[in-house]
Amino acid sequence: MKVHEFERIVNKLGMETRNSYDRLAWLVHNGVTVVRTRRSHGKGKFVPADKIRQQLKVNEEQFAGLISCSISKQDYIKILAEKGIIA
Amino acid sequence: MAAAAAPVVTSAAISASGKSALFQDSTEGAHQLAGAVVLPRQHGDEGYPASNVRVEILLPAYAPNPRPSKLLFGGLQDPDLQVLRAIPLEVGVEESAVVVSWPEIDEFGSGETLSCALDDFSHTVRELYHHLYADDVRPGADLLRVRKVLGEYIEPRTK
Repeated sequence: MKVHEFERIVNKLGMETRNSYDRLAWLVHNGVTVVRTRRSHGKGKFVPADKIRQQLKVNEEQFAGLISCSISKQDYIKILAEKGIIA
Repeated sequence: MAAAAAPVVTSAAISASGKSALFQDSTEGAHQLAGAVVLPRQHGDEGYPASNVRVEILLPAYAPNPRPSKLLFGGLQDPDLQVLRAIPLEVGVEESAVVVSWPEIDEFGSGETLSCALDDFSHTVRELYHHLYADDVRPGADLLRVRKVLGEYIEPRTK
């Protein structure tokens, strides 16, 4: 997974970010932090796509949709709600 | 004007008469060599004797892997936190990077070596712990579960 693909997901979902040892990202929905993910700093750093996908609680098809434009933030919120991650 | 190159004569090449071998005829020189130790001639068709060294070649896919596939981690390196129970980690390699993961909470660390991956994991878990236990954070259902699991393995140090 490329860094710009990670950033595309973070920007699309409007995740809160903080640059610490890693670049941390949280999705806050209605004041509740529902999922979190992160990546290492630096463009050449390895970003394990499968681990990011698991942290975002989506399957491979949904993850590909998040990277591309086929799944929007509203779609993603709906996916999390169906999984019971968002009340 | 170029100087004429003088012949180099070693002491071994000087006979008892004091004359250099250069000034003696070739048959006399051959008699002198007769008593010397001369290495046997090498014949290309004889070959070398069979070696007693056993060589075993293992393909990388079949060679034993010194890196464990699972390990117990306890080196959090945080002055404010201590590990209550060793954290069970799975170790894998993806695209030449070592990845350690804690499947119970979907957390991971990665790096060029196992040590780098563990160091990365250590930083990540510390930040996650401090974030989820911060007063101004309201975790959702899944992150509440993550916080509960973290609390089973890690606790604040008592001063």
